Amino acid sequence: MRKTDSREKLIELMNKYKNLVFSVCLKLTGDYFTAEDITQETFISAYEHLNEFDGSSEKAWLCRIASNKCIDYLKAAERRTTPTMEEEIIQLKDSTEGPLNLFTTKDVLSQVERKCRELPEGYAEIAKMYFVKGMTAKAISEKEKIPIKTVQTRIYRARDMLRKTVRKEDLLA
Amino acid sequence: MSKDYEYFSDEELNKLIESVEADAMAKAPENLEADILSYIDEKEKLQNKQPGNMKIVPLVRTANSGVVEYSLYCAKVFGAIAAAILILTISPFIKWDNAVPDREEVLSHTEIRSREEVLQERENRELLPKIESIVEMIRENIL
Repeated sequence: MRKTDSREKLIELMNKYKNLVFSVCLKLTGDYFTAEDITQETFISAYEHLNEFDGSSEKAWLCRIASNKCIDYLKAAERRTTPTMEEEIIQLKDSTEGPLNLFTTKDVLSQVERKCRELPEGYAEIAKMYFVKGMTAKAISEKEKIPIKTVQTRIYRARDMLRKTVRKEDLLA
Repeated sequence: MSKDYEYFSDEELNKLIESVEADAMAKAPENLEADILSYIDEKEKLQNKQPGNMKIVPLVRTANSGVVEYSLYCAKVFGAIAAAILILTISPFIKWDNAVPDREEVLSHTEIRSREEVLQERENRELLPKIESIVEMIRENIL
């Protein structure tokens, strides 16, 4: 497959399945930014292996890549945490449950919304519109009557602040 | 005890997809496509410039990469501080061939006369012509 064809195919796949892949990652990881990262990795991996795809089901193929990457992430995340004695006992007791916790999109987005409310003034509302309601920067700019560059800068900074909050909670957990 | 994460079977994956589609799907971030395409373009540019073994920086940061980067940064800062302290401690004991001599060395080779000596010398210098002229006068008178 030529590079231009691969690129066009990638764009087609992203247009069709980006929301599905993102939702799968969100469901498995329970974290907005991790889901975003893994979604990007999924499409990059799909682009690099387009030649190996047998053409049977694009949806299942992409979701397979995404779910495998999510599971790899969860394995790595678990290796980073060292459970205390009490936690090990609780885990032993709960061993009948499945290894993966599946999150609902609603729960994850409400967690993101809660974190957005904790952001400083000027960032909270824009972050909520962008991350929770899924509005574009242009739409936010038109609604709030703020220049689009200002909106983009605030989204960038809000993302950074939210990521740090998530990482801090992850380390303290 | 660690949880046993295994990849999904085909049935499990299909169930997952169905449950995601049944639930309200989240909207992917707006910049997702642009970020992916720009990463791919950058990677291809680098590959065109330098084919063969090449290290590509990943687009996304894993959860661990921030901690590793921070640790490396701390190590570099502490290393630089340690090197600076070492240089400051050792350098006075190192004799450099082309080094500028310090004040003590220069003064030790210099003969320094006291103020009184200098004034005495000046006086003698002024006195000498006078003595010479007196001696000349006496000689003339004698002759």
